Amino acid sequence: MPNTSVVIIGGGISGVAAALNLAQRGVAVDLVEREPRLGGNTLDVCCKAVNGQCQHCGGCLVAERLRAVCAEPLVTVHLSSTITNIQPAGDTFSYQLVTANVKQAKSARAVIAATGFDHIDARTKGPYGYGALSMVITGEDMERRLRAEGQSVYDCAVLRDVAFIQCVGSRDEHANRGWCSQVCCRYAVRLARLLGARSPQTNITIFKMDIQTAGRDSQAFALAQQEGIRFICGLPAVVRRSEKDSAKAALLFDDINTGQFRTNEFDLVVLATGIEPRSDALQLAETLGVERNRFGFLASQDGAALSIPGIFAAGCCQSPRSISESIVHATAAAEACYRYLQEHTQ
Amino acid sequence: MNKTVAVLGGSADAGWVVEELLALSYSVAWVGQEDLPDSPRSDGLRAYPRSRVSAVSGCVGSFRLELSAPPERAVIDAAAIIVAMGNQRLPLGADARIPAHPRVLSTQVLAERLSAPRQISGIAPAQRQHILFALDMLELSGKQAVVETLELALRTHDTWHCEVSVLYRELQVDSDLLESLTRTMREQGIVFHRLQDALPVVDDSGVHVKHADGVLDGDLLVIAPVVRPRSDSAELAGLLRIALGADGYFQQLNVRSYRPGLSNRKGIYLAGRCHLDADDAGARADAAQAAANVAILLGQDHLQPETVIAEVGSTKCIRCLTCIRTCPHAAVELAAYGQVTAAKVVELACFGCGACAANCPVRAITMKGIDVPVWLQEAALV
Repeated sequence: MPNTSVVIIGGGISGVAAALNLAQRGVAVDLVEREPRLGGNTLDVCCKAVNGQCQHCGGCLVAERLRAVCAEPLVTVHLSSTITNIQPAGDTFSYQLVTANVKQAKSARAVIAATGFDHIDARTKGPYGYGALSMVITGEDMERRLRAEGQSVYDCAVLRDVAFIQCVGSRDEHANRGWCSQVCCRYAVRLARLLGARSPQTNITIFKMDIQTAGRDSQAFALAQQEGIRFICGLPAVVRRSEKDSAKAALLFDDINTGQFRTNEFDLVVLATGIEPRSDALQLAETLGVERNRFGFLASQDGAALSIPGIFAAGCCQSPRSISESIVHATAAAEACYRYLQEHTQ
Repeated sequence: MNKTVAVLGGSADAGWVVEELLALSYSVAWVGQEDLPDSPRSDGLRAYPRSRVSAVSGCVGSFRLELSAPPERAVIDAAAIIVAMGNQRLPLGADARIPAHPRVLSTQVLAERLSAPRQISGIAPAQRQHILFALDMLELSGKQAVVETLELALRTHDTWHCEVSVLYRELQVDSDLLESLTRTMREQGIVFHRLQDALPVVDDSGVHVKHADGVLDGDLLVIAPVVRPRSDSAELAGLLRIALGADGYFQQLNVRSYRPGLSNRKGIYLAGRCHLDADDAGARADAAQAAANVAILLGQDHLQPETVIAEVGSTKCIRCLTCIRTCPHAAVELAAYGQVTAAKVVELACFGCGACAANCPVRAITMKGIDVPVWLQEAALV
């Protein structure tokens, strides 16, 4: 398909996967990333293999795709760049590409939004003390540390008791975040299993509402239970500094199984924070002229197509997704885009 | 180049794959053990209903499948294969812990009754009944079962205007669909209860289920389907030399080359519920992914090997067969090099993972395309 090009906004795993897919079908792609590097949020994801056994977290799916997209002649990568002024002009879209204050007028036959997500700031959940208590970290903090220093950081861990708190910022209608972030249960269970394997003397407790096992992760949940990871139904009300030992955190929670309030102490508390739309998602939606759903994700009726023909969404800007689900969705978006191009090319 | 794609399986999943492939103008050979569902009439489609694959040879670009299809045998030459055989659901009686009683039904039976007018079970008029829907009863229900059961519960409530409760252990809300579904159900007065470990008790007065806040009494208990891999998965996996996970579903086991929808062999792809747990929308998206995988493979003018692949030094090879056993991708075979017989890597089938090079006891295998010494390659690979 000569003389057709597609602009993809966002160079995270979804944008990269969509770009690769279109390029492999012979479509020229402009891949625009506002950061100085590709990869987006996935760059923080670590390998979570337990005793050499892959947990299918998808972390390793990223690097080879980033290499491939850089080597792909049909994909032009624009780093530290943004897009403004997208206007439909007949069968094409005209837009301005801004790289380091240099503006360039360009056009594309179709647009794919792949702007990804923001991690929900754990500080918005004040009672959990993130930012104030040093023993309270988030799941991404833990992943980043594992990624930077390797799995062996927990080999000689002096952690006796570790708690994971699920749904931090997700499924919370009071905070206007009624959605399930879909990835936190999976990464928390994987991280918990990894920690348990690396540091067998550590007692691990996961505070949860409902473990989201739909898909193929029910096995991981069952294995975690077999391995002695304790699941407690109900989220803690508050995390404080322990009065007995200032290095520890005290969690106050309502144990649904016994119906009593209890306080337990932990050396480390991991907050499984969720996924929310980018802080500038509204601006993006207005630039593109497309609609958002009631939570602020881009609204699509049928998988990837947005409310304006020729504009598609890939990955987490449309709904929370794991890495492999993002790749599948980006592939579907690229497919839909390719068919749109076929139909609209003379 | 041959551009025929063989789709294996008679499930709905396979139907969507066929639809996607035909939309991309590939020739499709559709093989299923059962009668195949109606499909769009197309010159590109050849259907082989009530057929079994009995032998598979060749590699990506040139697979040959032999079918035992009464009355005659058939042969398919295909460039790629998509496995989309779906899963199976166990009958309610398969587990003895579920009491056999007219008050205990499968979702299928209830759905049939729902389409028949008025009377539910002959026990009482519909409006006064209390119907319990149980997810996660014996094991955590998968996505397909959860979506199907919740939709049925809502439909029952809408049709019969009776009292409906849902029992669960871990309520699944992890998609737009499930979330809006559970929200709507709650708004309509359907109550959710968390199950305790005790099994349901059924007697003539009704169904009694223990949950976190007490005991729930109902008139009917509808149990979410229990889904398993198809019993013939293992046989097909053996013929195709592709991997099954510990749970019996098709699964790519080599971490180094794991990608969504790929099997462990080049040119063989997985689609739908034979490798993942998904509702219909998920299975449809996966069908598109499988078709895209094929389009990427066959979109080239001719097939090309990976940039990094393994190569056997035939003079060093001691024919210990270690590489043939080790290769996760069935890409090594024995071949004649002039007078000698030695291991040979089928270039198109090799993923370049390096498992063979790392395990060869005489270091006869090198990774072509990597410009580093073998000892370093091995250090990096192990």
